[in-house]
Amino acid sequence: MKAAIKIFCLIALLLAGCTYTEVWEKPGGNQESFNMDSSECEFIAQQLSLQQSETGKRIDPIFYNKTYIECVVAKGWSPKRDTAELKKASDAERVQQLAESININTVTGFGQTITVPNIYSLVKNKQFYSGPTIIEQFLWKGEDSSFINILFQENTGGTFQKNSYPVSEPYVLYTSGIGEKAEEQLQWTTFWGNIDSDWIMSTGAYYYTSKNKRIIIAITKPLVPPSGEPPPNVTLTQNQFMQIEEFSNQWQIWLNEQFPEGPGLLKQMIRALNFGI
Amino acid sequence: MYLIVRVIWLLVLLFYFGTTSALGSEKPFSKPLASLQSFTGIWDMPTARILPDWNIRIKFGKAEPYRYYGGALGLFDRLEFHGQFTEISSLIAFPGYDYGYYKDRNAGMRIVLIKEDKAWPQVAIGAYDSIGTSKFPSRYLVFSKMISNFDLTLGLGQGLLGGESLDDIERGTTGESFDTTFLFSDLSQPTRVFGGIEYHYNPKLTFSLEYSSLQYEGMFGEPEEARWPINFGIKYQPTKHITLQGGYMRGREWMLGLSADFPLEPEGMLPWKKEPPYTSNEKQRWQSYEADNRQLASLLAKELQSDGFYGVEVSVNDEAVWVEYVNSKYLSHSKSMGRVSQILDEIVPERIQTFYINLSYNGQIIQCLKADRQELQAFMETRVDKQGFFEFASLSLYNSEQQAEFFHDNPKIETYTIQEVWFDYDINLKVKTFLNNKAGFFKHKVFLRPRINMYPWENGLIAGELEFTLLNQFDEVIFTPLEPEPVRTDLVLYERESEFRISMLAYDQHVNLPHNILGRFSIGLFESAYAGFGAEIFRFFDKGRWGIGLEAEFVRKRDPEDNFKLSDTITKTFDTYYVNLYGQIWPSQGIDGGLKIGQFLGGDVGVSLELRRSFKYFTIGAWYTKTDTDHFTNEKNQNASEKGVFITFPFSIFSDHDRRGSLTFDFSSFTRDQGQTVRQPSVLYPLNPYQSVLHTESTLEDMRRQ
Repeated sequence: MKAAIKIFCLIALLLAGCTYTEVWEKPGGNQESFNMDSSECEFIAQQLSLQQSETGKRIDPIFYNKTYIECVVAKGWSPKRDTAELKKASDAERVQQLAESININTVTGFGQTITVPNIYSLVKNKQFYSGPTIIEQFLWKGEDSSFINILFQENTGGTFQKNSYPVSEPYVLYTSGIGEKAEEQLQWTTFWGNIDSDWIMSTGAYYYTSKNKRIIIAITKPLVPPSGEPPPNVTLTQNQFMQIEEFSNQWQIWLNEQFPEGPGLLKQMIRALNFGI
Repeated sequence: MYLIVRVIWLLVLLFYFGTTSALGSEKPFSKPLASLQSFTGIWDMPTARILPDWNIRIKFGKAEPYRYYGGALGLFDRLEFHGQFTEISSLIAFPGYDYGYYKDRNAGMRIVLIKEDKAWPQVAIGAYDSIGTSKFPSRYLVFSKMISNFDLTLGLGQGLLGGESLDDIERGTTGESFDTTFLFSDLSQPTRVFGGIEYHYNPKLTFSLEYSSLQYEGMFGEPEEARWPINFGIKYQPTKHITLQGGYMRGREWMLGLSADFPLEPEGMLPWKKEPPYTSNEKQRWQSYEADNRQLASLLAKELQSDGFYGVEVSVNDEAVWVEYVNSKYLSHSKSMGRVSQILDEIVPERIQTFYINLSYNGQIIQCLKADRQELQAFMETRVDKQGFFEFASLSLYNSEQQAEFFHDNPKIETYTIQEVWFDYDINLKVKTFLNNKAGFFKHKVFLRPRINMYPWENGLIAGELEFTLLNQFDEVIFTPLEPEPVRTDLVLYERESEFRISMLAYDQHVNLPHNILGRFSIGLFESAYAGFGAEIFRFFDKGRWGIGLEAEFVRKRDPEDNFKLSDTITKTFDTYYVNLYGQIWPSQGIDGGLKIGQFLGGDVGVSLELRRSFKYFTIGAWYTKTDTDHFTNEKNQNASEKGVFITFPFSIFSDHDRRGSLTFDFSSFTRDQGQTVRQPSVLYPLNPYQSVLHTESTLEDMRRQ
């Protein structure tokens, strides 16, 4: 049960990274109070965006929107959902299927086929909405108390930024990288966390199949408790380092096997194209 | 007519004396809006305003019979240079050809003598089209003063601005001469007053009215006589950098204008995303803890490479780390040194207390930063300023001393070199232009130019470059060679074909010579017209503030059609020999220059002077080449002096992050055989001041931009 809660926390993290615009509502709020809050948030978003930019002179509109939305939400406003959307939410069970399980260990979707090792068995398959995205989730449980969570996510309200798999409190980055052949299309991260005296390690990955579709994978397993003191400048002890290193290597290899396709020749040529006069 | 001027000036005085007391300590503001032409002004009249430092303007304006296509540049908040093509729709240049209307090139400059303050107006002098054919020669003294939202201008003009007709102005008339008859004529020329008012109704909208001192019917192109000497209209800025103009000129013609004014900043169309500061992860820290010197060198080299640096080589001993790298990431070399030091500091164990960070370029070390780790941390965290940092650190040109210090008699050194990729490639879309030809004003050739660079061994390069023509108008250009054995005036022969052409296939080797002298030699096909051998040596002195080099090329003409054949018709060898001198004239403003003295491609001996400003990673410059042309047979070559201007802009203006790479666009005088050089696969003679220690020192704070 504990592991399931932690996996839920991970899912909340990994669904981040997409934006959309809304009409706002708040109990007891009116246009005037919204205008005041909105102006304040515009100012805050502007200042933070300038700080966020490399030179402090220009505003990144994506970061500005994100900050503005966070600010407005923090002031108690929430996106107003229209009837069609409410209906969609209530019909979550009838969401369009994004992927399907071919057999007990294989799923296919977005043109990719993923095979999990035999020691895992499927425990959950469901579809749901998260913001403007549709998600189809497959959760496997392994014989060694580990979990593999695979989500097919389609963004109907915009496009995904090609971010690396995020790590934030209470988790700590161990190492990260990109696909051996898939290059930036596959971005993986290994991290660990110590929550309520339980140690957990995980490898998470984004595989971007198109601008608005991605596959999210998170493999989670308990990490052994520390034995002794860690050396200077590091956090994990020798036994933990050895275990997470083995875990990370094992799943890097598996991820590279699942996503062997890299950017095509055309894409590589476009990347090399410069425009000059 | 004079009554109107008096009325305007009376208004000026009234505004001035009526409002100065009310202005108090408010700082006057002004807007350097474009005139109908490329210079800052009202419509046809100049003001004392200029573009701010390192801002440029691209301008189109039209009031028949004149159409203006031009640009302007502001420098040091004191100067404005402007230039334009003026198309005159009342004149056909070459009847029977496709060239169309007459087009005149002209340029000018304005100098601010006194800047505006609370009490005094801004005062400027200027001139335009005062050299060459001088179809529109004028010079002026002008005053501008902001009062409330009114910008008032009053000036005194001579030449056309003095109300003279073109025929009455004593001036040079040949396009290729550097005649200054009018520019430096005595001040007793006929003089007229001009002036005007610009009312800034709001930040976006300005109403502009001027009294024009021009005698239009006496100008080149002979427009109709003005019904009244007043021009008026509006200037509207829908966005920060764009100005739309419309109005009525001379009581006869509607006018239209479009101006784009913008600062030259490396962050261009897209806002730059901030790169996250480098932080090591748990795995790297563990590996570093467990690593011996060799493993540590390998770990650091791989990490520097994965962060985006090329040519990485790392050596580690028990107390210090030595890094050589190519800055392939950032415009600023200081910033790259900051990033490298941050990566080292995050990963290396505590026993390593000294960093040697060597910046490499074309296989040669051009700068070496030696710093104590703790001092470096203190500088990066802004606990120590630049002066304090250099008490304990050194930044030097070349690195022989540091090399001896680090490598001498130290058996515990382990080195790891990243195995470089053995080739890379890029594809450029290029446009070659031929302006002002009888067959048409703007003839061009558009082609794709893929280039493959192969690196067979250290500092060696085989460069292969092809040209695939997409559109070619050079076959229409009417331009015959000027000499029996032309150097450049046979360019149409080489450009008219649209078949694919090998524009470069050459071997280029860089070598480090004794006494920190850089060397290079090249052999092969250098450009579409030439193949042969070239060699160069160069050495910087005084932190890169100046340098001296020698250069020579021995080339033959290529066959215009066969890619792998030399020309059968021109069999002579074209030899060049130069002494190259380089100097940073005003380093803090990025002003540097070069002198190329020697024998040019056509056998003409002389000197080429290049002056430029490299600032904020843009470079704008001009060159002028004067050589002994007696041996040329054609009069046009004998009278020629090669000159031109160029702009280099960074790729980063199209990018959402800091990145390296730049493009150059040049605009030169008529093609002649005089003062020509041959292209080489690479050069040592510096093209900008950014490689120098002096520049890195001055921008050292960029190290903290992480």
